Amino acid sequence: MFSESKTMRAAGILAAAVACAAVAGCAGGAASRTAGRSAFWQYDYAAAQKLFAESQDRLDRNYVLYNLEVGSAAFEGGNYYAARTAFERAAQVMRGYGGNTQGIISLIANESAKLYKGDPYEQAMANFYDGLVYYRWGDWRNARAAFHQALMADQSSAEGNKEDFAVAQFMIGKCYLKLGEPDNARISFEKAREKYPNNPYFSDDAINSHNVLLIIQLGRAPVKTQTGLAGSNDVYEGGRYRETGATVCANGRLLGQSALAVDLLDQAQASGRSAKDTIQTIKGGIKTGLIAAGAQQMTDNRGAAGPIMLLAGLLMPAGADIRNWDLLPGEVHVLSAKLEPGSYTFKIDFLDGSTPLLDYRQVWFHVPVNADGETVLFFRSGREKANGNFPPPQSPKFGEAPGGSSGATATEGTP
Amino acid sequence: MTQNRTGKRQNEKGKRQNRFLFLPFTFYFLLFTFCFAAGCAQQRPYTRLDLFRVKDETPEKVVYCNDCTGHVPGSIPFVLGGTCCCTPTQELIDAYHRDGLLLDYDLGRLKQLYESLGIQIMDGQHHDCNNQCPWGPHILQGGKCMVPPTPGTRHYEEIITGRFRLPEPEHEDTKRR
Repeated sequence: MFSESKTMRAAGILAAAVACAAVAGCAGGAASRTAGRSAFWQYDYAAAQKLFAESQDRLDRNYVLYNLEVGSAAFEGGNYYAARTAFERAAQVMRGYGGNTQGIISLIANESAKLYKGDPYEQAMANFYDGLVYYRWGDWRNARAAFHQALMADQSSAEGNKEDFAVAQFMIGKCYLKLGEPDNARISFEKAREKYPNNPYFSDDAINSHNVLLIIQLGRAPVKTQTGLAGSNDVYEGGRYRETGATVCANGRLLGQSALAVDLLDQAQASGRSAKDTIQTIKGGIKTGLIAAGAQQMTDNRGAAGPIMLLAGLLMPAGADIRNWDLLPGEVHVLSAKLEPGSYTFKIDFLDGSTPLLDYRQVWFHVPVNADGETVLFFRSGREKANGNFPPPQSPKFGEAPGGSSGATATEGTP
Repeated sequence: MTQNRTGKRQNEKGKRQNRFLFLPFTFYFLLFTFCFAAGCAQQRPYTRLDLFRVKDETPEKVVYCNDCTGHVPGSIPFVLGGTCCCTPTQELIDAYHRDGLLLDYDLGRLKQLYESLGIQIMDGQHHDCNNQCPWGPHILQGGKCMVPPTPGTRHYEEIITGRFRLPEPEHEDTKRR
């Protein structure tokens, strides 16, 4: 039979659990992020952006992550204006020195207590997206600055992997060309070719003659998992996806096969080890040691020291911080071509090796190729992404939301 | 015998006390479940309604023209009951006039018309928003944004073909915020 004190203790624990559950359940931000992620992977980027944006202004340790999520949803949804704003907000904090106190706390407490600033490859990608938007707008100076920031972020990678963010080098070269600095452009293109010598779109011929540039993103972001003693260190594993390349046709004419310009798993794994990893390993060692020693003491019946050590070991936060920007792709490919100005139907077949994945096929109609300057298009792979099911035709009149409360009704047939 | 009876009585009493001890646990368990469910109720699960169908490679007809599709000859501005959502420029006015349309309009008057209706057209500050800006959705969907949607997106195809989704009514909570 339970004594009264035991009952009270149990009731206290349960009351705490109630409070925790209420707090966890009421965390509206987390709920909207989960729903946003669900919308993102179902390709409703407008809905995803709205849901992610609910957390965008929350000034907590995940501020950068919130903005990266908004940026990803906006970028994939073609809302480049909002994407640039979100990526810049994230990049400012990533580059800054803020969050030092939380950083120090995270060394002794849970690592995930620190302000999330992303790994070098994530910082590089945020700046890369920013640069792509500027490049699309023809703002070569800002584009070049953003791509340079991407390379700067990559500088924190392990020795031998610095400046290997080839796609940023390639884009910097293109910016230099537009700005009339061919010598600087040549240096950047050489660096891009050093990493991917077989990429046909990095050749001088392709760079000088092609007027359409396709940036094609494939697959899923690398996954960060805990490893080592008590999960105190992190390791990157490849995201699971089938597509390895893509072929593109414009109005039925094959333009070619995409070529790898950056592999994000390579970049993630090249992040290198820092003092933080050593501290995490020590924390993992202490935690494991306390648990083992506590258990040994208890086995030997040596008083209260055993349970105390065991409890301290169990409660010690040593787990590695595994937050990461999981909306990124796994690879970024490029493809360029020369096309006459006009309207095109682009058909993109994603490949698993050399086999086309039919449920990944994307067809996009009436894509304009400009008469002046370069046309830049962004695509991202996804299973069943290009859905051929369109809603029924609408007959809207100005001032009336179709099917809305104003009385206008949607009718069948082309208006 | 008496000892047995007393023992039995004590056992029954103990059992009854044990039974009552479960009451606070049951109470807290129910409270926990209720709180968790109440919290989780805020989560709006996202579900895509339309099923997947492989897309035909034959392009759909452009019904509503814009800057990306190019002006469709013979169409008049959407705000005047037509199907043209092109950004007003002198070339566009000339094209209308060539078709014998809007002869009493010049560029200034057409721009003024859009302005008076609160419609935001594309300019140096307002572009590439895919109609998800504060003036969105697209004017076809009952919004005030006439920036051409981004080519290579589903929204673009829906707008130019006139086969678009109905905008979701704004939630009361969002309105208040």
